[in-house]
Amino acid sequence: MTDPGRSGDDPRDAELIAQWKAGDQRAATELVARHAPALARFAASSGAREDVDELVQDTFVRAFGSLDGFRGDSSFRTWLFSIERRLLMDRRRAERRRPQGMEIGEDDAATEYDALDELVAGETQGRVRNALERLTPTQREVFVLRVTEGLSYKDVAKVVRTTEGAARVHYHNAMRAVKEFLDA
Amino acid sequence: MRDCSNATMRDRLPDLLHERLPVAERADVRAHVAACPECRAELELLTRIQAATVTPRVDTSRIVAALPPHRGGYRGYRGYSWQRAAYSPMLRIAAAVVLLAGGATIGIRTVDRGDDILVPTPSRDTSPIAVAPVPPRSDRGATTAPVQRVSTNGPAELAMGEMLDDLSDSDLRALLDVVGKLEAMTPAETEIVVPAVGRGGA
Repeated sequence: MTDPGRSGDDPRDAELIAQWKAGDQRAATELVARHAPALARFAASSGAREDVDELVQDTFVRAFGSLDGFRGDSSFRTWLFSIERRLLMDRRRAERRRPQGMEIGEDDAATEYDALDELVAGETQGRVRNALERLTPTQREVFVLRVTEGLSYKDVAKVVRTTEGAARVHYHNAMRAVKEFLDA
Repeated sequence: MRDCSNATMRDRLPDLLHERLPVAERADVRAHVAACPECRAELELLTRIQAATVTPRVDTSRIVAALPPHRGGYRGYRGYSWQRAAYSPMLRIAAAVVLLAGGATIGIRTVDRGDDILVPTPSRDTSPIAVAPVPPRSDRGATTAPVQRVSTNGPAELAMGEMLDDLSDSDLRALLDVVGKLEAMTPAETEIVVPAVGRGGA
């Protein structure tokens, strides 16, 4: 799978969006290829389990369904991250509303472990994974978007719906926590 | 691992990692990292974390197949759609005006039909389209053109006309014919005053 440019390429995205709106379906294929890997990483790091693939697909379906509403205030990738995060939060809420008799089974737990395990592999990766697991959800989101995806604080703030200053604080707290864990 | 006291430089490290810094700024940050062991260690850590990240496999072809079709491409003339036109605000306003105007016209016509109208009174002893007979009355001037007031609301009201009591069947049929013709006229033309030439007329 191609992953051209982890932080995206806004001018190229704008071209592809215009082409898709003009009826070029191949532009959609390229847009998906450009951004699906980043969305999958973000989903996995945010705790999505076996449904990473489905979550990424739902994100694109929703994004293309409302592409006319994309004003370009942020990059296309940032917009996609925002949509994916909202979908992820909706799913978490739905899971919390699940009846108590439908608790997460062993298979689910194993799949969650597998998804995280796939995110970072090997001894070093395992330590990094453990460090990330100790972060709060918001710290982890901010850290992953900043370090793994290379988003600016401004874009990170848009995705997690906070201020730029708060995003900066989350990042530095997360970095301190990761360092402490790895130094221990 | 200690933190560098230069927060601004630390903030730039992820941008340096992703090569997102402008050329001049990149040179500054690199110079700082070269001289700062804390920032160098932190940049190494960031590099390890980024390298350790595995991208889950995603079936992009399945995603593309699930995407909704684009809705149009060229956004100019797309053929006339009644469904789209029905939601046009201007069309809605125009439809409301037409309905109001039409309703008012119908209302006026209905009121007019209910009103008494003036029709020529057929003569008793002449043809149906003859001039209206007017009984001699002492209070009517001979020079005034007399008119017959007839209601068109139905037989009961017809019977109320004092001047119709003594009309023959043929006269009544003639009168109804005339009334029928008047029904086809527009409301503005319904009030017709025909000078009656009575038996003892001018």
